[in-house]
Amino acid sequence: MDTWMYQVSCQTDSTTLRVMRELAHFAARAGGAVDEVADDVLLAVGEVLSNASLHAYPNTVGSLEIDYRLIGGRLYIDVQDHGGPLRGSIEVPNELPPLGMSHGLGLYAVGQLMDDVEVKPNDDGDGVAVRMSRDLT
Amino acid sequence: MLGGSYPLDIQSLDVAGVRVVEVRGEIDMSNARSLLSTLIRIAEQETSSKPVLIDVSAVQYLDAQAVRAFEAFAGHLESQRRGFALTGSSYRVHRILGLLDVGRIIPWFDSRQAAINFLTSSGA
Repeated sequence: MDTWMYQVSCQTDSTTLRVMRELAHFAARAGGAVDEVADDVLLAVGEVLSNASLHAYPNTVGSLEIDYRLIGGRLYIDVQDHGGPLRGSIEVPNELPPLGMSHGLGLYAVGQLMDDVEVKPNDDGDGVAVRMSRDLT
Repeated sequence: MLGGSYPLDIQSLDVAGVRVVEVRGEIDMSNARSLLSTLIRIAEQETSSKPVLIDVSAVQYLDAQAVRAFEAFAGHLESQRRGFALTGSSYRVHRILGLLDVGRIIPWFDSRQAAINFLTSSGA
């Protein structure tokens, strides 16, 4: 099976984020995913990018690094922002947040679309990293 | 978010007594709020209590922010006792609407005709 990786650095402006989610679809297809699985990856990355923009860089544009690694038919995606240290922990909801909840809907969707997801401090401790993977076979 | 919002094409038309709002494009955090404002403006232009159907058949992408906007719009119409439904059939749209169980707040149909039938029936 193929193994590859690439890293993208980008800004959180709306046009770039749109390109980045389409790139996620392309990466999944390149890794052997059928179109529906690639759509799931696109939807998950879209939610993660939206959360990074909303929470790490409210009312401004900031930087993100997105890593893609394909190992043994599994696509690993790591999205890191630099919007400030993670305060406390963020759990991925296992159940659909109730109506009227202002947070958690997007992260819940990510948890359903990907095989595993974790939200941690980034490598430099100055932001948040979302690490997730999906079997593409 | 800075950097502008992704443009949406929004058309409103009357079909069999239902205000149908056709949305084309991609709905995300950059334009979900403006979409909600536009939907409320369209709804408030009505002098009658016509039900509203949002047709997202030509939407290629939507996310949780879009669902929030639909949820808020549903609340707005509910306060006016007006019927509301969604229709659309692309995989991406189906997938996210299904995962977030949009049907718990908004009736959702694969076809426009089925949605119109629902909205014009006595139960809507």
